[in-house]
Amino acid sequence: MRILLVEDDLNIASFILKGLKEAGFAIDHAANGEDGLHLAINEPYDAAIIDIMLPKLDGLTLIEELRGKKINTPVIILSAKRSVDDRIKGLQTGGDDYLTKPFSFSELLARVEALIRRSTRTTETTRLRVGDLSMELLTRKIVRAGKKIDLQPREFSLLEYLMRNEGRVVSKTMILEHVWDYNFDPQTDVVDVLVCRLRNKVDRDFDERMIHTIRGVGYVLEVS
Amino acid sequence: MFLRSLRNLRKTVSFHLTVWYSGIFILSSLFLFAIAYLLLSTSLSKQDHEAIQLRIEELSTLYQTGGRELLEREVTIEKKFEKKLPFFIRLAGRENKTLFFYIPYQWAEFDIKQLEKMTSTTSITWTHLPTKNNRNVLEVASIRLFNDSLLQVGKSTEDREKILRHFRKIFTVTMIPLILLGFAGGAFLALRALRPIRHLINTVRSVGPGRMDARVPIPQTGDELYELATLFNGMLNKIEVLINGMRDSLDSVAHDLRTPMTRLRGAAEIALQSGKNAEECKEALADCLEESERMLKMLNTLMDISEAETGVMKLDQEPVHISALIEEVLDMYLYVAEEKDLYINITVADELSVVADRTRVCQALANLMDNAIKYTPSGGQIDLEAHREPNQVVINVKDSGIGIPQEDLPRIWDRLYRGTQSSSHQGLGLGLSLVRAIVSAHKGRVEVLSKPGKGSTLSIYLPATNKPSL
Repeated sequence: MRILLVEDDLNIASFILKGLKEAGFAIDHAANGEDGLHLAINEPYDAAIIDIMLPKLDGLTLIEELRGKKINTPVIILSAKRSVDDRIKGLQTGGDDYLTKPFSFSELLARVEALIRRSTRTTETTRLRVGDLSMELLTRKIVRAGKKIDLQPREFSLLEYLMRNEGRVVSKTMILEHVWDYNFDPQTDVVDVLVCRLRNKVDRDFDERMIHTIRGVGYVLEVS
Repeated sequence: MFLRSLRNLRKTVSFHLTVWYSGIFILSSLFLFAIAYLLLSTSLSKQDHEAIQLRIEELSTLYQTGGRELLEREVTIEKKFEKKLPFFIRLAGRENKTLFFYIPYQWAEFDIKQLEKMTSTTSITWTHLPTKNNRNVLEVASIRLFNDSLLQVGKSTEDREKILRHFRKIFTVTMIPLILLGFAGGAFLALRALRPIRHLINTVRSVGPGRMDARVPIPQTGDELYELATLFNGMLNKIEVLINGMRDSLDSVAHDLRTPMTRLRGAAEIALQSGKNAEECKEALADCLEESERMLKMLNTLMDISEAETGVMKLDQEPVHISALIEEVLDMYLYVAEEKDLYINITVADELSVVADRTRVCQALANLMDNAIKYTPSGGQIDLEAHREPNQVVINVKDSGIGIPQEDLPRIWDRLYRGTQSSSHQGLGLGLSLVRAIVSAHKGRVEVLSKPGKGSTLSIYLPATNKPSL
């Protein structure tokens, strides 16, 4: 998997480069919009991470030019602007996802992977399976080690989301977006509460815990 | 220096107005003079022509009755009495040989010989003969008489020219004060018309750093300048609110971020102390992450509050059904309420809707819900109630919690206010101030009623749409 990073802040760029290399990606870096555009046009990438504020050519224009040339590399926009308007503008221009600075690296990684998966379009499964936990998407039946688990709708969508991202950390923001389709932070940690309930149903009666909290980052579902 | 100020002057509207006004004034006076001059000169020349024509007819009749002698006698009489309007008279024989001519002595000299070269017809023909010094012209009418002799009567333009010259002199003499008057009038008008604008300019100039309270004096005229001044003051008011709001929020951001930053710093410092094992370091780093997460959340909320308070928050207004909105909020907090064993009771009037920014109002309602859940002890009840009043829609969130002391009631909407009894609860202390900011941005208001020990009711009032249902 080859990824293009267009980011002028060298500190941010270096931590993304390091992280993505460790995650097994091949990655090219451009420090300004023009170089980024040149690379994006001439090289085949599986995904691109593009900052909005760039020297020489801003990110939105870059994406616009790419889309104008019918290059449909999935793009994640990085921005220091948080408002819903900027987000909508970014997505309308042709970005596929939007991440606000400061962000956690695990969130970026999860989003990049989700984008690549989406664009390679693996056939839609009707059954998810992690360890001894399985989920029938059509009948909404969940079984762990032969024992049936009953979940309420939001618990179900959270578990489905965690299972689809098996082994990857998902942040609270990502859960809010996917489970409730919310774009603002509620004061109380509703995600925490939901995860706690899910844990009670999925993990409590079993020896091995599957849902883990990564402090300060988010949650991950995996079997050790 | 002088040149530069001159160049600056040339750019001003007053200068342009002055130039235009005086230009138009001067041009129109010139035009009037020119017309008058033209009319005068044509009417004078017409008068001369008529006089010459009359005279030549008179003389030709004389010649016809009395021949040359009578004609000569007439001319002699004319010479003797020196009539006011003298004529040039010439009689020529068959070969155009001068038989006799008379020219008044006061006229400049003409080259009479030229007249001998011309031929003529029985009708009157006109000839123009310049003087030797080329200043005037002798206008001559010629007519062939019955015996083929030629009679010519003429008149110098000298008299006419004298009147016109006088006229021109008057024109030049009056034009100089006229031009001055034009400039002075133009300048006066321009300065007078632009005086309120200069007031405006001076005020704007004085609105500098630290002088946001200056306002333009508003003329009670109701004209365009009144409008401009009113608009300008309105703009200044808005800017003042914005600047003060920004300053306040910057102050509070700086203040509010100090506490979590101190914690962040503390965690990092402890981790760096010698003798810590990897596990403890990891713990400290996680603390740092959590703390920075909280700071980010706080920063975002503070930004939202100040955006809403200063009126720069963009609201996507659309019809919002209150019952759907409450359902949405409940959907989010249901599990939290369940965990705390709270009973939530909902009473919403049918077909209740407002025009508002859905996400923002949802956020406000979520914060109220959040607040109610936080301060209601386990096993308590929360009532969500919404109804319509004549011009507004009211949403009440009633908890059965600890209540708020009377003296704290007005302060609960302030930033970072947390009641003395609530210090044990987690939260940023920004939730309710965001509620107030969002509701105010929608031109609504918030209210609170509380009985300590029994619970509080927090209400938001949103302006209702004209139609009862959408």
